[in-house]
Amino acid sequence: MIIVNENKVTDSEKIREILESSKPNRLIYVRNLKKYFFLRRGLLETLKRKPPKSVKAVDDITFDIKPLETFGLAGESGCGKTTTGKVLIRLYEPTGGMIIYKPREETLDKLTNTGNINIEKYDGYVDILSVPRNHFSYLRRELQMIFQDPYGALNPRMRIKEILEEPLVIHNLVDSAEERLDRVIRALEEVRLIPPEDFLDRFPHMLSGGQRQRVCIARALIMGARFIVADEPVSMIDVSLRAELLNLMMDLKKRHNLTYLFITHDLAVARYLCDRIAIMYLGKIIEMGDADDLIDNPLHPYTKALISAIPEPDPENRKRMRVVPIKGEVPSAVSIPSGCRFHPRCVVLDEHPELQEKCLKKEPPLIEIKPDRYVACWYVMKS
Amino acid sequence: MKRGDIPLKISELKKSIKEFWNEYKNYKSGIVGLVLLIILASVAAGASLITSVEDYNNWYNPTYWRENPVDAPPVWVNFFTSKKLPVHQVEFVSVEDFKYVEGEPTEGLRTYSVNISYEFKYDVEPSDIIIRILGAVAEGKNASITITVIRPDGHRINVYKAVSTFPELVGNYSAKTVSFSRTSKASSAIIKWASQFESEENIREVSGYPPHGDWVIRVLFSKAEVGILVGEAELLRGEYQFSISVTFFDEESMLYGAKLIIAGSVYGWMGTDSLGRDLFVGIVWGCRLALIIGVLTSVISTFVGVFYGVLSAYKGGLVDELMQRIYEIVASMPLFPILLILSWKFGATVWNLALLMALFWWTGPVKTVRSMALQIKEETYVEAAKAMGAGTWRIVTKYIIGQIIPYAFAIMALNVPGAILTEAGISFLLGGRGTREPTWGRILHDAAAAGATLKGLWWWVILPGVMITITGLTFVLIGSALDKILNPMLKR
Amino acid sequence: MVLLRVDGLKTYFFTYRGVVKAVDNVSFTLEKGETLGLAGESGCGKSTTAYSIMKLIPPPGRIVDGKILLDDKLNLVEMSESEIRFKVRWKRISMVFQGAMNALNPVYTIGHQLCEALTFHADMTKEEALERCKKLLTMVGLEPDIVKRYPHELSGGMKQRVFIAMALVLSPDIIICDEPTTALDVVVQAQILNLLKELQQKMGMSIIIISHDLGVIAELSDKIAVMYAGKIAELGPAEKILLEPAHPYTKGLISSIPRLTKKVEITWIPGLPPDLINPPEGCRFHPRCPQAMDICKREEPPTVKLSPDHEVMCWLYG
Repeated sequence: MIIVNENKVTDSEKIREILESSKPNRLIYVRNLKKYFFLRRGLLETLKRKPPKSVKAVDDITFDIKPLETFGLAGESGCGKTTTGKVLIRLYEPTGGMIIYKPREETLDKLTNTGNINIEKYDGYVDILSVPRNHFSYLRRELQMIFQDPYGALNPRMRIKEILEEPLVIHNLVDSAEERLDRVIRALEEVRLIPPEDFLDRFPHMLSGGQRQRVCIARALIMGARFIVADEPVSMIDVSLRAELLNLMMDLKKRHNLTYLFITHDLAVARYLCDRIAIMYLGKIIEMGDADDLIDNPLHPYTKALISAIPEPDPENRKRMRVVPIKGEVPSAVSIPSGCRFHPRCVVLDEHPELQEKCLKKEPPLIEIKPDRYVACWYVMKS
Repeated sequence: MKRGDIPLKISELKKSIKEFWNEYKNYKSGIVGLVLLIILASVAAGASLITSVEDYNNWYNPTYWRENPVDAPPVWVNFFTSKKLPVHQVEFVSVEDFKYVEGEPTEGLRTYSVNISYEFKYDVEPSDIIIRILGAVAEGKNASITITVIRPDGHRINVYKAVSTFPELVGNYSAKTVSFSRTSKASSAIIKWASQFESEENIREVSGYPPHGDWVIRVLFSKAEVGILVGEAELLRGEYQFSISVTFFDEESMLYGAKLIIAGSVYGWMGTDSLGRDLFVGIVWGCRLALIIGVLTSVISTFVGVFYGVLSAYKGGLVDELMQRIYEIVASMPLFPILLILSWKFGATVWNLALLMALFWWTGPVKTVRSMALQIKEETYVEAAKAMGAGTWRIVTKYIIGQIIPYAFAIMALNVPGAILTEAGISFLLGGRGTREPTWGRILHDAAAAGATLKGLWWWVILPGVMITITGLTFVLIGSALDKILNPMLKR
Repeated sequence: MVLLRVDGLKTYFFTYRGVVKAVDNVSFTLEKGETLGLAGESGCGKSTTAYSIMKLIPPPGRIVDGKILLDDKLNLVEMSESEIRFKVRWKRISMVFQGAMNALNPVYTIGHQLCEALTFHADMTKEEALERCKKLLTMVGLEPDIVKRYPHELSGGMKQRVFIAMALVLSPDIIICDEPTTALDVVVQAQILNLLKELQQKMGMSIIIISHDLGVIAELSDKIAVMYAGKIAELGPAEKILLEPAHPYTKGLISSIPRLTKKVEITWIPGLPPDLINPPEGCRFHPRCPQAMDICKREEPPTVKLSPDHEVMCWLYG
């Protein structure tokens, strides 16, 4: 078992630096976030003292999330979006990087006033990765997640009432059983599971997929969540019911001042729902920006390929082959290509062999091409 | 606006029990098991009502059981035999009915005497004649006891004449017991008397026999002719008189009464053993002990094992590896020999033994539980619980063990027979060094030690054995049914 | 020329909770070289229909009524299991199953598994079979030396291609694809769908494509049947179904799809899909239908022909 963690405690100076060099008033500043999963080595390799191979699920990403926005994180499976989401709420410990977050004032107060530890903060921001684990529960309540599989996310042996009471019990938020029940009923009403009394006694398998997902949302809300990572929340729900759930999520966002990180592989849903989208490939963000602009005017070759691959319900489509400007298949995340990790699949590279030097050797940085529009591509930067 | 608290707890419990029962009753084997369990549990619980607590407490007090026939098969055996077997009779004559003479046989002595008659009209002789004198002898003094038998053919046999104290304690009194088959003085007297009618040949033949035992009673009740000693003479039916006389040498000693016990050939629901103990008592109390041991061991070991397995799985990594290696070591230890030694050392009550067994038995469910826990650990709802801030403890107990508990119940039921059998084995081997309570294993030990199989005392061996089997079967049936219903791996 | 005619198909599952009417009076035709899309959401009966055609319905399910006619002659419902196995399955109709990628046996090579079908059905020697397999693999866009590889060495997309090759091994007239791209990435999905288009052009077979994704359906289908609660709500040419849907369910379905190319408001259909053991009285869709009328709650609507090739099961048109 190898623990490689570059995290040192981020002191308030460092936080100040970051805040001053970034755009103001964001909810979250993610800086150089890394999550590597180290593979077990065989005996021989251990003896030879070779460094362990790792799956670089998230490989140094940097982005901001604005308060009250729906930020979309899109890409194909294996690109690292789900891992990013989980690291963001500290479900996984990252291998490196910082997540600077501005919690509610009361939360920050509680954080700093309990215990004899000194939480480094600046201007109301903390690096959630350097908050000691046993003090993390205050932040826990604000940073929540909704999972892809609504059935799997609910304990099949607990009734809905119990499931929703869990967070209240764990964090000791309420004093009496009566108050707890009251909160649970209100939460059910918020997610439109009406009448709530009907649902209290049921087990998860007695609910439909959409209803289960709503229970998951209620569970996040009941704790007083502020930032919710939604990991493909509708992909396992029938198409004709998705909009209902998405609509509910947007409604709740307005009412409770939530911020979402919306993870999806479906760009159409991302466009519909999100204010901004970031596209990930093999652990890196390769394009980011306003949702409409990104989809209407994609810059990165990968984004273009993704968009062209998506079939729309247009009867003319069957009459022609779909042209998808991309080669080959996604490589394993254990052996990431050198230079720009997309280069083995890039058709633009074929057309512009003069870029070979750069694309094969150096990794393109994520650059702000236009205000709030980012790309990581040598070709785009050149033009 | 206040919302009423919805009373969920009891109705919830009732509902889930109802649902569970609906499924359970589909399993015939489970129902059979349940019925058996109810029977066994009632027997175990009502042990003090079915038999007496006194019987239980005196299990190891041989004098308590002297009035019972020894090595007697159960009463119901009579249904299967054509011969009429003598019924066990106890006749008590109180001191008021004795003839009391002072100054008999000499000055300063007091003598009580009585004649008790017995009608022998059976095809088989009784297994023993026991005369018990009850009373109290003064400190340092003793009494003279004379017993004479007057047969229907007129012969008088001076069976017993001796001076002794009343050494046995029976209730509030002391007693002196003379058993015609077991008290050597008495049996030798009968044999000597019979020899005068016997042929030289036959006398030589029986000279190798031990001078006591059942055969002596046969002699007593046989016709006074050749073959009397070897059991070839016919039985003499008629009225037998037992003349008992007790002489005290002091003023204080007193007589309470005398009992004439015609020990039948059969006794009780389950017969008697070599000490005359009513095996029914032993088996009924053994039932309680077996259930206690079985259930206690099983419950403790299953809980420990489940907890161990889950913790190991949840912690993972080095802790898991370590815990598994420890488990492997304990699991490979030879349970039985170690238990034998430990029982020997720590002496045992049923409770000790149960704890010792639990010490080794916990390894049973560990592997299965661990793999179940590993699977559950990966489920999204566990991840969701972590995201909510649930700590390790809560996740292990509520989420993981909560899922495994139903399966654990099935395991518990299935472990009970093993525990009972192990205890039986240990008691069987250790005998007196093992548990002191009359567990079925202990009874079997006593049977083996007394050579029950050689003597053909089948009831002593088969009945406890059958009980062990039935109890084991009960739990296996219940456990299998539970397993089929509750095992999540077999479900859906 | 009608290749396959399904007439009044009813497939019910007899469970201890009741009779699940998974497919309840379904009729459609399939011409030679045509692609039919079976669209619908979970539980509508599209997969069961496909399995019924292949006669692979497991107990407690059974085909209760109806005809499945091949060449307008052979009634598959009446044929015995051995007849179907030798004359129809894989020779005339084959299937790419949902989640097929996980159905490859991990201990045998790709070549072995592909050739199995050939040596079982056709009388080929091992060498002949291997040759044919290699040709098939090239046809589906894979390197022929994949015959020596094991399933775990292949990616999801490659495995799916192997399965398509497997389905084509005896050059069937009809291939049924049940959600062939659901577990695949969007780029690989496009490639697989392109492959199917190509193969259809080259080999002229008919395809039945089953999917809940109308975009995937649109990529291939000439004709679309929209299924709901075991019945066909609407059946017609792709142009009509996708651009001028008649049935309220189809309309609701189409307007619930978010578009990539333009930002539109998407709607949803309120309520939940019905219980197939106790479906609603009358039209099964009425509890969720924005245009439900009185008669919809009482009587099952008839199938109305809006044009020779477009039919709807709805009282709005009857």
